[in-house]
Parts: sequence; C-alpha cells; structure tokens
Amino acid sequence: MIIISNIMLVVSWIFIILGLIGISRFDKLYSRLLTSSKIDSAAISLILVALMLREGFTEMTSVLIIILMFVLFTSPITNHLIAFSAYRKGIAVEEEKND
Amino acid sequence: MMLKITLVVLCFALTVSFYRFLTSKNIWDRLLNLNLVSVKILMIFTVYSIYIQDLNLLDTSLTFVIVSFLVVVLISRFVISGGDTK
Repeated sequence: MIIISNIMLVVSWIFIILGLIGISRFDKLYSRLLTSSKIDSAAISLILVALMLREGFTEMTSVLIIILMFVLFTSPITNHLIAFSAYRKGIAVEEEKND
Repeated sequence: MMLKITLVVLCFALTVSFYRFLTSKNIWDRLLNLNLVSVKILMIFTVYSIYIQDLNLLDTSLTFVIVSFLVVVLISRFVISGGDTK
C-alpha cells in the first residue's frame, strides 16, 4: 500500500508542475481555464487517494472521502461560472479560421 | 519523506500561483488564479494534517474548501449581475 501511495504522489508532482507550465504558456483565458480545471482536479484526486491508501481504515479516511467528493462536485461548477461570466461580460471566444 | 517532498513542491506551486494572482490583468484571470491558490492551500492543509496525524486540522481544511468555493461563486455571480469589473 505504501508503494502504491508513493507512486501516486510522484505522479501528482508531475501533474502539478505540468499545470504550472500550462498556465504560463497559454495566452487565451479559455485555454487557461481548461488547463487549470483538468490538471488541478487530477492532482487533488491523486493526492487524496494516496493519503487514503497511506492511512488505512481510520476516521481520517472518512473525512478525506468527504473532501474528495466535495472537490469533485464543486471544481467544475467554479470553472463553469468563471467561463460563463467572462462570456457574458465581453471576452470573445476566438472564431476558428478555415484556410 | 514523500510527504515532505510533496509539501515542498506544493509550496513552490503556491508561490508561483500567488505571484500570477497579484500580477494578472483582468478580473476573470484574477478569479482563475484565486481558485488555483485556494486549491493549493487545501492540498497543503490536507498533506500536513496527515503528516502530523491531527484530525482537527483535517476538519479545518473541510471548512476551508467550503469557504473558498463560496468566495469564487459569489464574486462570479456579482460580476454576471452587472458589478464592477476592474
């Protein structure tokens, strides 16, 4: 169990560093929203599942499950609301060019 | 040992995200970076509470994630309903 937890923690470091690089390299707002929502959900799910595997069946695991469910439900809602308000208040989505 | 390295990586990511939060151009960029900062703080809370084996700190992080969700949702609703976008 500890070995699987360590492997998941290493993969979560890779996801966090990739998220930082992706946020810095994209220049449009909607691309950055896509990158941040995907990468951060993956990183926090991996870290919480790794901590659950490390803990075993204690009362800490139940609180970790509650935090994981809450983050998985609310992270798409916040990103959708930021994109919705940007679309309503004047940042245009770039049209695709057909050459 | 792995938890310590995870905390170091998370603190580095938190520093970069907070710098981008301070130097962003418009309100939506600022909200995006605020969401990133709050998620990174949540990860630091959770990993540190497992590291020192404290259940009360884990309950504190559960409260923190609810409050950070409410902050982003309420500011977005305020901007949609015609608030100031500076």
